[in-house]
Amino acid sequence: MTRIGISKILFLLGIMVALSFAFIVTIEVNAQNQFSTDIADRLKQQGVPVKQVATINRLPYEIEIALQSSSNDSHLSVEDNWFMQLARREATFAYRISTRLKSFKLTVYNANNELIYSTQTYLYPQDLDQQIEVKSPTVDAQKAKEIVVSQLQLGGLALDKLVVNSDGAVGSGGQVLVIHVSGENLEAVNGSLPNFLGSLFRILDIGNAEYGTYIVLCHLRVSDGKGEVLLDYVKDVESGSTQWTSVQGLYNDWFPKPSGSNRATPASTPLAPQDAYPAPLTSDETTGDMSSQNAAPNPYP
Amino acid sequence: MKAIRGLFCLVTIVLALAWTNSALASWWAGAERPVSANGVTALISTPQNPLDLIDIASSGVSNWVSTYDSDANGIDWMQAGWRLYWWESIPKQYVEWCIDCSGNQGTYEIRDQFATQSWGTTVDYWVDRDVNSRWCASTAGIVRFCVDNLHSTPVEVYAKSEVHDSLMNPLDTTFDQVRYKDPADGVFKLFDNQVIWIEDFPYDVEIFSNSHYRTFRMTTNEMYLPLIVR
Repeated sequence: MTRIGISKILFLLGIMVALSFAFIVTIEVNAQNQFSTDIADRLKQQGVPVKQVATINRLPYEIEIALQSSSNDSHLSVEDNWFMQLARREATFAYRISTRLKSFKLTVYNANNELIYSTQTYLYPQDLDQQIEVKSPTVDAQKAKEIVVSQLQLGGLALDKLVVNSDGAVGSGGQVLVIHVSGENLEAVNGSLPNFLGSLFRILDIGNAEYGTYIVLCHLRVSDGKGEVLLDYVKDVESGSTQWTSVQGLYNDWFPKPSGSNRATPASTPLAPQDAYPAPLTSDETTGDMSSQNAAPNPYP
Repeated sequence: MKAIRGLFCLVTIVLALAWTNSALASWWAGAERPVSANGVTALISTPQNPLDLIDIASSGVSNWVSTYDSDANGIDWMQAGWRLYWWESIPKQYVEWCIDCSGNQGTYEIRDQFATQSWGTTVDYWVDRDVNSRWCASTAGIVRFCVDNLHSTPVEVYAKSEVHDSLMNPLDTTFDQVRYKDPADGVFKLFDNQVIWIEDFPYDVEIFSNSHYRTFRMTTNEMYLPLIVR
């Protein structure tokens, strides 16, 4: 074969490779666009006020889910807790039915179209919540309800509502627990809330393994006698994402928080020069084999 | 006379402990650095043996690095660490944050289902400023979560243990290589003597250096013996 003949073959091969690459990229781009549209549609079907779902990066694949809040100021409304958790859930578990995300941004806009919330959550294939297979409960909703009721320590709280529904997210066979409890006033609620919350958190953590339920979401609302919401708490049991709003003075020793010491400020002292300390990796920089067993910043398994 | 006085102190402390145990609360032990910084990091260990926690309410322990800022709008923070409730067998890594959390405002958020931390192991926990008012929390060397519009200026940083709901809970956590991110040059530097030690009784800090210490619960002997001897 002549040199010109070889060149022609290589040229044709190059063209074919380029065309194939362009074809694959086109398919991938279309798939990602469809993915964004699907997430928006699924959230809207669940009643979530979605402004838009946009692709912010194609490789690695990252999206932004923008929600509309009913709030008129810079704070989230109580209803946003539920909507935001549904949005996080769709993005976190997208890998079960479609593309795995590297990260997702969640933004919320108030009624004046001002950005009042913006976070970015990073996901890694090695994470516990990225390895959960779809499961189904072995007990029906009625039985699940009975199990939860038997485990709750209500104390002086009135159980106004407890229902177990099916999770509306595609690819989930889980159960959604909705609980409303109330007490006469803040003081009365505080008298019973510690044991009540402890019993609820415990059943959420171990109930699925011990009793055959498969609760994936829990929405708790605690009110006083006037109907004022004292605590609105939403937990995604599978992803471990929890968001809540509570009023001042409500029992709050169940979660970690820094204590502002307001103690005397120590005298300033000169600093000795030190070596730089390496920064954590972003999602783009992580590698597959990561161990948490050693002094870090080693990567994670 | 000394014996009577010692006995009196002993009875008083036992009664105080019994009373405070019936009132649910939180107790802290560790280091605060009130001089503003752009981040904090520490190697935080779990004890060699599982903690036997009191089974009451949401009794548990958490060990973390955290930012802290208080202004007219409330308290803001972002933290990363490990925590354990009494019904759990293995500690979970977590990240948590809150903006304007005081009064009836503010939304709290936690993520804790991405990794555990086995007993007798050490993990690097990290919270630092990315750009502008964007802050990120990392565990085991990789970024988990970022929040835009958190702190727009350098803030106080803490590295502490926190005990929830029962002061009978045991505690045994080592913090090592505790560093703050210097706003002047962006370099993480070991905690220096601009540190305030927090020791909420009966929890204490065994200080090896300003950047290396162990938080623990005092034993009965450690609590009562000095009073009796005195």
